[in-house]
Amino acid sequence: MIKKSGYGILAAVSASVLESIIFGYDYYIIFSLILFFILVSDIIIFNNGAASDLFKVDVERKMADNYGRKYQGKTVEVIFKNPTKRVITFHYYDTLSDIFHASGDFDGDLVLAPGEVRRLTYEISAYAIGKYQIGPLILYIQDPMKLCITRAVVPKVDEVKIGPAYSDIHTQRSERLSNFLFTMGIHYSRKSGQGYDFYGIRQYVESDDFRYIAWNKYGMIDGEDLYIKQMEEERQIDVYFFIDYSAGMNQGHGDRRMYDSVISSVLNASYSIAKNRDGVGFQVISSDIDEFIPAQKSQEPIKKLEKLVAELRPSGEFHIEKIFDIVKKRIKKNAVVFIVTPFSYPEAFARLNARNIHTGKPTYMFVLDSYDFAEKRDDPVYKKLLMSAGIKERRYLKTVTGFFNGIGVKAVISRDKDLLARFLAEYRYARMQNLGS
Amino acid sequence: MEENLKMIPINFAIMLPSIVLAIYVIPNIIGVVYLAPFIILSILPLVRKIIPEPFGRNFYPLVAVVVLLLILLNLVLAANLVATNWFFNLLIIPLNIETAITLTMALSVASVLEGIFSSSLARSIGFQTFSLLPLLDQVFVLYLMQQYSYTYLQAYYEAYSQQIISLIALVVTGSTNIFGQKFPPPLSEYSFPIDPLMLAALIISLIAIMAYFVIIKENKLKGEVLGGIASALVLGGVLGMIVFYLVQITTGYGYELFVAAVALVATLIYAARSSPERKARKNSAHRAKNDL
Repeated sequence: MIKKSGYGILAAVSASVLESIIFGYDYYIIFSLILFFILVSDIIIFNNGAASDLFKVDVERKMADNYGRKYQGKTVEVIFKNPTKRVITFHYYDTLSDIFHASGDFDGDLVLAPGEVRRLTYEISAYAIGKYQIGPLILYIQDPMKLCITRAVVPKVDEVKIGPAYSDIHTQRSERLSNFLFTMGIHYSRKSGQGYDFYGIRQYVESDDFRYIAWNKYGMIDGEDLYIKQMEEERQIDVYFFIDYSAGMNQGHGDRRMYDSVISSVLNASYSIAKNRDGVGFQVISSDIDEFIPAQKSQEPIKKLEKLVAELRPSGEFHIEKIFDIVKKRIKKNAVVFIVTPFSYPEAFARLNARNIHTGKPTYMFVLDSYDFAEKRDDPVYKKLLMSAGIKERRYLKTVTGFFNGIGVKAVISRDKDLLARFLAEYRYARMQNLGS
Repeated sequence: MEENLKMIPINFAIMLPSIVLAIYVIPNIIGVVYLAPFIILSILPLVRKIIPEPFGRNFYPLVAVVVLLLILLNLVLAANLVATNWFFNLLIIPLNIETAITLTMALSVASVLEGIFSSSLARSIGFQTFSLLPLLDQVFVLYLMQQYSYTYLQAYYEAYSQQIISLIALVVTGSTNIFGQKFPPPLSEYSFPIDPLMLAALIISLIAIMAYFVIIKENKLKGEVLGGIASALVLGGVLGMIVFYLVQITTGYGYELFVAAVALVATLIYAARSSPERKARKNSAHRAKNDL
């Protein structure tokens, strides 16, 4: 394919040929004609030789499997075969998403002798979770004068599913002290008159069940006073995470992506909750995605979520009104509901009122601030613009959280670093208050 | 950096025909052009070279905007749409033929300088062609001045009128004959003083284009590049000479432009159609049709 610059030069030289003939200046006529035909010959010889051979190269990509974890190295082998009887010279590159760090022969120059088979390998490691494509592999070659370029596309595309890194889900491991900071010692829900474990005594009031009166303490102080035994029992609650997985979560760059960070925090919180012998379930939702994982008092739903997010990429839109409907329809038992969203799409808040959003379940909303995911640069002008945009965004989020707090849904603005702490703080509060049991 | 330094002498050799013509033409037009804007516009490539990189990229668009704004201001003032004042008087450029010549010639000299500092062969050839055309126009103008004792401006009008008539003749009749009236190529009958120098410059320019591939190592695939370009030089030379002789033969009948145009267009069409991507697309479309 002749490049635009190639057409430009050919047009200029053609014009000079015609003008030289109009002027009748023989030397320049010869010069411009030879120059024109050298340029065109270069294109014709290139197209009929090296460029045509490029389409004959056999290329195959091989991978041991198509599943990996974040930051985990994965080896890709690319096999080139020259079936022709001529030497083929070309450049190549494999198309990779920007979430991959690639090292090795993912691009380069190759000279293949007739019949030669060359095996090249490169290693990729992903910065973020999700399903990504590897390929198509592009072979290209330019003519010596760089007037045209020929690209042969090897259409085979491989998919790689990337799950969360072990380092991101540290709460899965039991030996870390930090894993207990939020959850240790809140397994029990105190409730007088029920349960099997003795908790303590207090003075009897008329509404107490007389069956729990501690008769051995009767008249302990003034001879007439009655005391009641307080018992406690372990109560389990279900926590549901409603995760906005719309394209609005696809913010960030490099190794800082909103959906990746949110999933890490959700998984960490979920492992902590599961270890606390409470149930945890998930709803990954957008206009394109609707994946529901029912709550169970085990790590099984969390493993399912890990598998699920390795096969998904944020897409579609997100609207909060739909979420409340889903909560009402899908969660039959009482449960604590955590909704995580950056509110990237316009919402018709005027339509929402306490009746619409009343689900009968304690609901907490974590509104994500996107400032942490914006690209930071040293440029002072850019910094100022970013700061200004960040302040505006914060103001909007404050208005949103204010609205939800006003109609009975506890909403907080969460940033990248504090999301896990906020999950666990709200979970602890719900646990202590016996919400969701 | 090293490659760029090697490029400068090669570019200089490629641009040599333009440099020779510029040296011949400029002394003759000094009295016609507006000197200050001519010099300022001509040295713009040098100014761009010394401007730091992030700003250098926007230099020419900025110059173009300034020049266009000046022209717009002059049009507005000429139409009496705004009242003139001392500041506007400073910016007034007379909208006449001398200004057009100044701009054209400055553009030509700037192209020569840009060609010398260019980073690729394709750009050098482009700048060479771009700068040569207005300079050849000027050679024609100088020829008319000497041949018919015209003033510069009379010769200038005549030169462009003849060119336009020749082009119209080519488009309408397919030759440089209109109703039996011939428009002979002017420089074919005239030998100007730097002719031998020009011939040498054109040969050096061609040699420099070939030398580029030997001297400049653009990538690891140098051997392959040299193989391809050698064939292109031989084939190009042969085809160029054949077409030149055809042009010479048909000159007597006034069909030289037509023959050259046909040869150029046919070769261009063949070059465009030889693309393997086009063939691959055609094959896949054919397969799809058969499958259906």
